[in-house]
Amino acid sequence: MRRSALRQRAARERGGEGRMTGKIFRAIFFSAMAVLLISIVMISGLLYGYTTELSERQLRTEAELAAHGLERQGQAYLEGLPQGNLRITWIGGDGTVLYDNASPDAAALENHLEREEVQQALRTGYGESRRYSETLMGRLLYAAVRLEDGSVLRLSVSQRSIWMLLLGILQPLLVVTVLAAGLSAFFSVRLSERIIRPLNFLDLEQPLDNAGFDELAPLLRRISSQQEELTRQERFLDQKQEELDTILEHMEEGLLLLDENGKLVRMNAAACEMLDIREEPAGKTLLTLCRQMEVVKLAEQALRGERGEACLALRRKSCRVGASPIRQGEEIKGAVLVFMLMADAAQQEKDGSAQAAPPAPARRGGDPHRS
Amino acid sequence: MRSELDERLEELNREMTGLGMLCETAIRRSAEALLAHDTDAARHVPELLELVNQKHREIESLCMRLLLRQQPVANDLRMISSALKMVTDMNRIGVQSADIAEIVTMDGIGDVDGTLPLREMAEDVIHMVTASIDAFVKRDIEIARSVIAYDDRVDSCFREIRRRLVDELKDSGESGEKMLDLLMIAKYLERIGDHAVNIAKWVCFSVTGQQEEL
Repeated sequence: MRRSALRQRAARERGGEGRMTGKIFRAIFFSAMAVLLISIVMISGLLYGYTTELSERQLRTEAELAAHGLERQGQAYLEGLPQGNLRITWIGGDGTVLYDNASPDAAALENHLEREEVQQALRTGYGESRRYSETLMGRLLYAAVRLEDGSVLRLSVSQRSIWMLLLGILQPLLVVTVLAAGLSAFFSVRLSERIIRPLNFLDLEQPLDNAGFDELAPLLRRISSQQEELTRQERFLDQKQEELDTILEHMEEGLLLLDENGKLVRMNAAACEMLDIREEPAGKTLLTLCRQMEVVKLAEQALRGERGEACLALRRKSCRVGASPIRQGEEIKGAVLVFMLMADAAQQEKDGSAQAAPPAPARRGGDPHRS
Repeated sequence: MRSELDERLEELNREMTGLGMLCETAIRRSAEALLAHDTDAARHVPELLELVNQKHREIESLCMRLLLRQQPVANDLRMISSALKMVTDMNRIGVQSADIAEIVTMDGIGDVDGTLPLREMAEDVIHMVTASIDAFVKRDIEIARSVIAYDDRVDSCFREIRRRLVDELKDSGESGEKMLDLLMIAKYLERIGDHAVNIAKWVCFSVTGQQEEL
């Protein structure tokens, strides 16, 4: 359980449900083993029943033949029989054991009158029974025939239990298990490869043009749909980027964007010109590119969340710099600095105040310029 | 994943660049005050010197912590030991810029004689300081070597200024105070140039591991 939990955790950490080959291997192997076990149980059960029946029929025939021989020749007939695997017991009408080929002193054996097969034979002429022996770990089959003199001749044979039989086939069973594991591993690897190959060679640009299993069709349709969406979004982003680039690069004002760590995200051509920056600015800190103390201080101030403004000389031109933080909610995500040449700034202020100014009052006495 | 040492070295780099920026600003404002006779510009220089001193102490402390805790080797050790040397020179640039500013504000130096190559010297020195800091920031030994070579110009300017001032003292018989102030200023500028050269040499050492000799 613990090992299984560890495997599951490892699979989760890998971000998946484990290897497909392993899954297929387990499916094939356990299916094969399940079929094997069910087959063994069913076949063993059926065969065991059949062989028991056969043994009993055979035992009955032998008992009847032996009874016939005993009636004709007496005990000498029994003593002349080969030992074999049969146990022959001649029981008197009162249950006394008259002869037993497994015991030299038959008289010492206990009374057999109460035995089921003996009772049945005395009643009906033939009796049979089955008994399980702990000692022999197997079953004993009994067949008893009543003789003309009222005595009973009983034959018995031992039969191994089904578990012993199964134990007997354990070694071949292990060989089959190993063979099943080997074949399962082989087929699971091959099957995994065959399943994965079309996936690995999918043309993601044209997913619907891929030939493959029918089962992949829903996946391919989803990929196609996503590709179309991605293309649309990419086109849209490119267009927006182009628009932004056009605006920024043609601005007369310098614009500088910093991220929350003070690294440059974007700097337009005007800002590069004003700050005399000739190298690629993206990703570098402002201090690395521009050591104008006023600019750096404004940027630091903006990154702390405070707006600021300063007038300074950049490349011998007067310039106004404004810095503002960029916020996302309460969080400061960066800063923006705008550089404006003082002449432009002054003109903008003038334009702004002209727009805000109230209209001039009408003169009394009409237009003085009219004659 | 960046190690703590890498992060501290980046911090050291940033602090050094910040100190360099302060020094550049200090010398620029002092020169501005001197040449434009702008005492207002000169008044901000002592504040800058305070910042320079503070930054100097912080950087020294950072370098000592790095040496003790991180036990750097090879390139990193070279960089830190160069930084320890460079901050001293940067600090001196700040101090001497403040000295120039003090002379301009306190001693009423007045207008500077336009024939003296003081403007040229001041501009050369500002260029050297800027270039030495550039060399440090960009780890560019070519820029560093150009700073070292530039020192000759500054030394030549100083010798010319000294000769002219001595001659003026002898000939005009004017109060020598202004002449001496100008000589001191020229000397400070020449020393600032020397410190810029030292910074450039330490940049070369931190990049190549070799001491640059003229």
